Amino acid sequence: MSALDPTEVFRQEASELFETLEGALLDLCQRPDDRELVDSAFRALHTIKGSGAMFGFDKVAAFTHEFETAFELVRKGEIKPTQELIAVALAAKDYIRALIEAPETTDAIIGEAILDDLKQLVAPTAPRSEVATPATAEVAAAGEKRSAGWRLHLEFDSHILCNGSNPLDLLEDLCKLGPCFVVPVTDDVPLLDELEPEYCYLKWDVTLHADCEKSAIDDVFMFVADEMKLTLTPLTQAELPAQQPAPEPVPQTAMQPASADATPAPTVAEPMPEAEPTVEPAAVPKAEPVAKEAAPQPAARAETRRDEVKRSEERGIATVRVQAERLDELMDRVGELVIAQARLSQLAAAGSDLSIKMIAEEIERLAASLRDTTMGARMVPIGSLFGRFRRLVHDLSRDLKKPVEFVTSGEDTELDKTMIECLADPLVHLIRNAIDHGIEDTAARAVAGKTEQGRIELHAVHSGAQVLVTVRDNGGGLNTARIRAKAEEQGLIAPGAALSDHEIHQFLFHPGFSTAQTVSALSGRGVGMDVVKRTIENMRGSIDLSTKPGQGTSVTLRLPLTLAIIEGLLIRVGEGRYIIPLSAVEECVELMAEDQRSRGRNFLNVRGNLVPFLRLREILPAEGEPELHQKTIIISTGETRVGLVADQIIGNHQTVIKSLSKLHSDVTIFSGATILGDGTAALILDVAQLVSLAQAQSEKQQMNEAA
Amino acid sequence: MATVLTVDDSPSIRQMIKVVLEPAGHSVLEAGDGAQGLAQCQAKRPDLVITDLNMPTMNGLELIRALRKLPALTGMPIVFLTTESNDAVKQEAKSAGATGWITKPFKPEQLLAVVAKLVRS
Amino acid sequence: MSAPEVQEAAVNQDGSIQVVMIGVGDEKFALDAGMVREIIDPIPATRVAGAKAFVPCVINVRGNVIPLADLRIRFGMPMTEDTAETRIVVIELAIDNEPVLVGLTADKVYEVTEISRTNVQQTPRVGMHWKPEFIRFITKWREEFVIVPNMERILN
Repeated sequence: MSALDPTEVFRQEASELFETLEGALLDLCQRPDDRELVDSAFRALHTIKGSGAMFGFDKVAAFTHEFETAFELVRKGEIKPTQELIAVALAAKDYIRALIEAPETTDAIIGEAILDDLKQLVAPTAPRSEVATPATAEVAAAGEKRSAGWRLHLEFDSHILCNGSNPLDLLEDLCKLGPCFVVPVTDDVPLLDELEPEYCYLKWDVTLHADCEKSAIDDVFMFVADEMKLTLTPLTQAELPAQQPAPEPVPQTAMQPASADATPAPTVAEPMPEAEPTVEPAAVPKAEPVAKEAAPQPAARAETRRDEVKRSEERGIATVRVQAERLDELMDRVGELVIAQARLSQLAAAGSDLSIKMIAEEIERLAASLRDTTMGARMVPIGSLFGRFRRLVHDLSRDLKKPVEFVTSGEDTELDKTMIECLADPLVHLIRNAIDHGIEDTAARAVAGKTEQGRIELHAVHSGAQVLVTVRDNGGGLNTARIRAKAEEQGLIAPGAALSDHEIHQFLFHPGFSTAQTVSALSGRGVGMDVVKRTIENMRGSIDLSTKPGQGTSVTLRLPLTLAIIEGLLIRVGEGRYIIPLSAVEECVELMAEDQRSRGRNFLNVRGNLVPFLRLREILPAEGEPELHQKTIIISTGETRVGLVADQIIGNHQTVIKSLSKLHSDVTIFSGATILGDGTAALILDVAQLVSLAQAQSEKQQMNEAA
Repeated sequence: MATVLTVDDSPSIRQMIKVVLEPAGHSVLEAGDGAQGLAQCQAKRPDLVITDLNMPTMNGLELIRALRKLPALTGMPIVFLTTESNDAVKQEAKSAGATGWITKPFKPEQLLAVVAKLVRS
Repeated sequence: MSAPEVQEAAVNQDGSIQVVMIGVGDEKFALDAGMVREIIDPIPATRVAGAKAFVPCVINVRGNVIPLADLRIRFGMPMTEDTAETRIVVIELAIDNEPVLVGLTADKVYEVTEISRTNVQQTPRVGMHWKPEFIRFITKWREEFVIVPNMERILN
């Protein structure tokens, strides 16, 4: 059994709650009338408060309570959540978060300032009156002084059994305080045909021989104080003999067995087990069994309910929390299994033992489905990441005084959790850029005849084995001339060199390249577009950039679904075997004789389109003669297609990706390595690199031809 | 010992209840909101339900009312968790059919005491 | 696996160092035993196009794809065919503070032995055509000079 530390669980939970809270607050900016949002914000606050107190975050609980109180008018709908109010609420959220994450370094002054702000905004609030009417029972004589005991009269509401309280249990608890003399009062028990079996008709008179506090008795009836009449009179020493002439005044004698007589004769109950049997005979006979068993009620209703139940139950067991490292380990094991299975399959194929072949196939199937399941378990909706950016946009928009509408879609799109983590920084940068440099200031927008409010879209969608994440703004678009000037200034290109707009835009990804005339505090994080590009390429993804002057820019990240195992196409070049990620492969064609012959002009005619191609033998070590019938694999990144010429296409291969060592960090055309069925290592071709290599080559040829 | 269902949208509270009750020999079922709680009650018939009031989908009050409408579960003790010290909330929950309550923050002993109070072997 | 600091792990109290003695070309190298993970027979290696000349290949060692370095290339020694005595010595070293496994091709692995720091020879021998920073020190073993190399420098 896992014994997760509840406090740890709380921290994790709190961070999720903060996201919910923040999301709700930010949504409120757009839809201040949405009650659902207010409720959801309050629910999150409430849980933080309640759980915080449970786990010793007293400051959190205290502050949250104050905050909740001040915000109460919003909850009641008396005050609209204005922008200012939401800004304070966000600050409060950050403060609470700090209280949990770094309590020592968080100054209470911040909290006080926030509360002051808040109180000003919600202005003249009537002081909340905490008139806590103490839950007290009807007490006849409230003599708090100790006495020889108490005389009690108990009358419960008739429905008390239905609500889960058992008077017998309560009497038993009472007996624990001291020797009790319990007399049931049966006056109100109706005749059998009028009797509601689930109702409590009995009343009790109890004499408690213990000098306990009144509060101890109140404690016994704490939960039912409102559902009963309790009359409590202290028993004085003097009263004792006079009032108690009946059977035996001394507790010890109460041990005598109760009379079998079912008539309500006064019986003395000893503290523990005897209490029940003695009272039982007088109790409503049917109450117990009925309460515990299903009464034969309308069957149809029960049936439909059961269906509902089933459905909601399915939801109920739907999630389990697993430590992230365990998923990583699991993926590693699956990777090893896939490699071992490939070896087994190869051995089995080489042999002639049919039964081994069958087992190998079976294991291959199982390993593949285990891989899929494991990868599925690591998938996280990208929406969890999107949530964070709303705050970013909100703050940036405020700081830069550029009103911005932030629209997200495709939150359900799932990606491997490690990728989600890796994506955070690049997206922060792209969004920052979009607001800082993309969206024009209000004046410029007005001149251009645009809406005052800019628009940033963050969009995710599945596309084959890839996920596309797009950041789009409706700002002024890239200033190609300025980028060009900057590139010339930095000596990246010769002045006046003939370059397409697309090529010029690529300079944005060049290390140290920035066209921002002023470095704002916001973009001063030291993460440039080059880092974004590198991060994305490290994930085996690519970046597309497109822009329309005056209409905006969109940056699309193309990402593989997972980092761990991919479907690959195994090819042979000379003696070497290589993997091409199948997600990049469009089709395989035979290299025609005319293509072969057109040396120097490395273009392939694919159904009328000219596609540049690379002879892999020229860039990879390859001894011996090329195959007579060379195969061309058409790969693509985004819009660009390139052909790779290989000696042989061996087939599909489950590729467990191993990263290359630091000693090979200078190697560009491979993105990683894998292990083949025979135990040798094979390299995975880096599609993005090969595409740009092929483009560079074809451009060079064109230039040579032009010259 | 008893089977206790904890209904709370806060995993940490559920975990807390679990780590207190399980060593005492109780078995603990979990549900993340009222709807799941209702389902669990019907499927598993716990001896005691401990529910939060403030939850998404179906809140604690709705859960209590729904449970009290089920004849098969008549008399099942339902305890709610509350941070409110004022009586209005308690009143409302009580009149919905709750058996008792636990005020947050609570100590393990308090939780155990309430369970002992409402569940007899 | 108790080698917290790879380079200094095998220094004994009397100043002697436990080393794995290997032969590369006509030189003898003493590799600090603390950095040696295992010694395996030659296995098929995969050429890596575009890699530095002295780390031309990768190999699969227990499911890890690790680079295979060739010191003969690094030191401009003549290449020879593998013989029955050729081995791959897998060592672990720190590159940018991260542990990295590297295979080294050795023409021969002699033995695990102790060398003494007291026999340290101060000056590089005449005819040493490689950079002094590659050498931690030179010592004597069985009346022969052996090089204790600085593998981090050599491979980085």
